Amino acid sequence: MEATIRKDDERKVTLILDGRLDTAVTPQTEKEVESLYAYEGYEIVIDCSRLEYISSSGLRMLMAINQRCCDNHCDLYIKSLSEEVYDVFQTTGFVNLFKFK
Amino acid sequence: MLIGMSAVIMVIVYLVTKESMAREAESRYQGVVLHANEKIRGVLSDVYVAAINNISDVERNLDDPDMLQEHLERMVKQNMYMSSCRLIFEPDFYPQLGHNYEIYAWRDSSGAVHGKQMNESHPDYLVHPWYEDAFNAPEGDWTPPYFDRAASHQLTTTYLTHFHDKKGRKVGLLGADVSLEWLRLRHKRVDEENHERYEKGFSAQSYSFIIDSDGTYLIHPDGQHVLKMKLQDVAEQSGNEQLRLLAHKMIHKESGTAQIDNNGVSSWIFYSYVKYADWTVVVVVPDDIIYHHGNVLATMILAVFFVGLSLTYVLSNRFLVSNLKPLTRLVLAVNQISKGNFNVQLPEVKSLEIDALRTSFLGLQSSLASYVGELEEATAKRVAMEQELKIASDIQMRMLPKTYPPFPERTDIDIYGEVVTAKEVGGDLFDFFIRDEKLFFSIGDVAGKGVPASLVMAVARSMFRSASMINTSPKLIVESINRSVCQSNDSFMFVTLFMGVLDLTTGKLQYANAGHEPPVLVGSHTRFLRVDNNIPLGLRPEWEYSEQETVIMPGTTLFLYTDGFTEAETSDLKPYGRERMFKEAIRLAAKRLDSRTFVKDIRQTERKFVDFIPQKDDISLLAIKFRGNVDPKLYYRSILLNNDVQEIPVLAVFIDGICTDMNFDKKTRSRVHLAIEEAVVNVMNYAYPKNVRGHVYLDVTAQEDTISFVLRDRGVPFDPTKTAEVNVDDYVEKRSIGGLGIHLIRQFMDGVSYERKNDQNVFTMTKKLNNII
Repeated sequence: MEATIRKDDERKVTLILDGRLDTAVTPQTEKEVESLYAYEGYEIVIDCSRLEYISSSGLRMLMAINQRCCDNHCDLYIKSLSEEVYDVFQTTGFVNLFKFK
Repeated sequence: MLIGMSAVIMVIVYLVTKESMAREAESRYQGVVLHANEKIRGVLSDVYVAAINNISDVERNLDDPDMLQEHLERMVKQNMYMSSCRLIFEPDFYPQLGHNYEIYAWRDSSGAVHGKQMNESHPDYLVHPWYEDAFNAPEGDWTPPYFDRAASHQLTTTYLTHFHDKKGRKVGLLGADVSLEWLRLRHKRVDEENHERYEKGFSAQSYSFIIDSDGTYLIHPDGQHVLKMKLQDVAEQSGNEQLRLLAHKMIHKESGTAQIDNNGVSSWIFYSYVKYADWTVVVVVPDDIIYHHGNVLATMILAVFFVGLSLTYVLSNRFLVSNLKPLTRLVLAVNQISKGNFNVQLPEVKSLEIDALRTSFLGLQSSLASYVGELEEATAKRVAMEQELKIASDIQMRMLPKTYPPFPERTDIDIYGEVVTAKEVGGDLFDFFIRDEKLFFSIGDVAGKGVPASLVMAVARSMFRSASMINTSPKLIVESINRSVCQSNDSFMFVTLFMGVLDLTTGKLQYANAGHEPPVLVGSHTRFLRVDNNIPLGLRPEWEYSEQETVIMPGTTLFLYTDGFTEAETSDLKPYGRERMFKEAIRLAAKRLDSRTFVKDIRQTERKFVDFIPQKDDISLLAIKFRGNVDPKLYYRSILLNNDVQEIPVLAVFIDGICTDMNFDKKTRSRVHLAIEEAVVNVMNYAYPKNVRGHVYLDVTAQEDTISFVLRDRGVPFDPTKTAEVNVDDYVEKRSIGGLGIHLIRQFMDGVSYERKNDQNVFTMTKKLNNII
C-alpha cells in the first residue's frame, strides 16, 4: 500500500492510494495521510484508480479523512474507483457519504 | 547539618550558661546578706550570753566594788566582740563612793583592757531616757545603736539588763557594749572583695548597708548616712514607688529579693531581717553585674567552643590533606590503571596504611595487566570469530526459502519450513523448487558447527540447485553433490542429506537418502519413509547412492526434519526422541492440517516436552503437503494464523489461491477476500485479550455447489452475528464505527452462522458456487 499526497495547485490536493488497503496496512496509511489535515479550504481528491482492495478499516480511515477535511472546510472527492472497490462502497452505503468525480 | 547542630548546641549552651551564671551571682549576693545576718546574730548572741552569765557573779559580789571592777575587765578580755562593759548602779548604792556610781571596762585600740569608775565624768546618766527606759523594762534588751562618745568613740549598741540585790530589788544595769566598727569593717571588706573579684570595671558597683528597725542606717558605705538618715526618707525622696514599698517591707521585718529600677539603673536588692538584733541587712547589686559573668562566661564558652571547632576542622583538614595527599596521588595513578594504562608508576608513600594499599594495588596492577592482555587477545579472537559467524549465519539464512506459502498460486502443493538456529552457526539447510511440474527438495545437516560447516552446507546447497537443473534422478543429483562436497572438504566434514523429487501430477516420489533421518509420511497411513542406509556426503567421492521410489496419496504430508529436533533434550537430558515425534505425527494426521499448522503444532509438542528451554543444535522442519489435482467436489484447504493483523497478507495469498481454484470472477474474488478478512480480523481483535497470543484456524471446504469457510479460535466466546447491523443509509455522523465488518460479511456471503463448540468459537460462512460459475 502506498499513499502519496500531491499538491496540484493553490486550491487542490490529490491523495493517491495505490495497492491493497487492508487491516494490516491501515494504521500505517492513516499516519501517512495525516499531512492532508494541514490543508484548509482546499479541494481534496482521493485518487483510487490504483486502489485494488479496501477493507472496513480502510473505509473507516476514509470516513475519518472526510470528517477532518469537512472540519477544515475542504471539499472532498473520490475519483476513479475500480469496480470491485465501488462494490464495497455501494454495499456499505459509502456511496451516499462521499462525492465522486 | 553539622553546622546547624553546632549552632543549636551553641545557643543552648549560651542560654543555659547565662542563666545559671545569673542564678549563681544571685545566690552569691544572697549569701553576703545571709552571712552578715548570721554574723550579727552570732556576735550579739555571744555578747548577750556573756552578759547574762555574768549577772549572777555580779550580784554575788555586790558588796565588793573592787571585785566587780576586776570582774568587768575579765568579761571584756574574754569576749572579743564585747568592746566595753559597765555596771551602773542606782543612786546612793554605795553611799561611801558617791551619789552616782558606775564602773567601766574597755578595750583600747591596741587590745589592752582598762577599767575605771565613771561616777564623775558621767554624772547625769541616771536621768537619760535610755537608762530610765531600760531600767523600767521588764527584761534586758539591746539599745539602738549610738555613737559612744564617752569611751570607744565608735558606733555602739549595748545590751542592758538588770541586776538585783539579795532582796531581789533592781539595783542597777549591766551594759555589755558591742562596737559596730567590726561590722562596718566587715561590710566594707565584703563590698571591696565583691568589687575586686566580680565587679571590676563596672561603673555601678554593689554595696551593702544595714538599717535598724526604724530604718536608720547603721552601716553604709557613705558614713554620712549612718545614724543620720533613714531608708524610708531616702526612698521617699527618690520618688520611686518600688523603692518606697521595699523600704516599707524591710522596716516590717521581711526578708527577700527585689528588682528595682532606679534612675535608669536596674538593680537587684537582697535584704534579710536579723531577728535578734531587729536590723535588716541589705545588698544592692546592679543588674549588669548579675548578668555580666553569665554573659562573659557564656560568650567565652561559645568562643572556646567555636575556636575549638574551627581548630578541629582546620587541623583535621590539614591532617587529612597531608595524610591523604599520597592517597590522592595513588587514586590518580589507579584511575590511570582503570583507564587501561597498566604501566603507570604507582607513587611512593610514607604512611604505613597507605603503603599497604599501594602494595595491594601493585599486585592488582600486575595481575590486571596480564589478565587484560589475555582478555584482549581472547576478545580479539572472539570478535573476529563472531564476525565470521555472523556473516556465515547471514549467508546461511539467506539461502533458505523465506516466503510462505512459497507457491501461493499452486493448489497442489503446500510447503512450510522452519529453521531454529542455535547459538552458533549451524549446518542445517533445506531447499526446494519446482521444475517441470516436479518438486525438487532436500534437507540436510552438516556434522559440525561454525563457519566450515556452514561453507560445506553452502556448497551442498548450490550443488543441489545446479545438479537438479540438469538431472531429475535423485541418485545422480546426490552423487553430484557428494563429489563437490568431497572436493571442498579438507576437514572430513560430512553431510547427511535427504533429497527427493515429487512428481506433482502423479504423486510419484523418487528419493535418495545420504544418512539422514527418515522422513515421515503423515496421512491416512502415517509411517516413516523407508530409506536405504547410504553413507553421508563428503566421505567417499566414488560412492554410489541408491535411489528409492514410492507414490504418495493426495492429502499426505511429507515431514522432514533434522536430528536437532528428535534429539532436543529436557534440562535433565531426556531426549524428545523419534518415537514421540512419530506418535505426535499420527495424532496430528487426523486433523488433516495444512503444512504450516502441522509444523507449528508438532514443534509445539517438542517445545512443551523440553519445557521451552533453548537447544544446543539447530532444528529444521519441513512439511510438504501433496494435495494433488484439485477436485472441486472434494476440496479442502486450511490455514493457521496468529492473532496478528500483520498476518493478513498471508491470508490474502491463501484466499487468492482458493478463488483461483474456484474460478471466481474479479468481483466475487474481491467480495470473498473482504468477507474473510473482516471475519478473521474480528477474531484477531476480539477473541483474545490484548497481547495474548492465540491462533485463528480457517478451514475451507467446497462441495458441489457450496464453499464453506469455517473460522475457529479458542478465544473468549464471541458471536459476531449478534453485532448490531448498521443502517448504511445513515450519514457518517450518525454511524457508529463498529458493525461495518459483519454487514459486509452478510452482504457478500450467502450464509453466516456461529456456534460455540469444544471451547471454540466456530464461525461459518458459506457461498453458493453455481451462482457465480
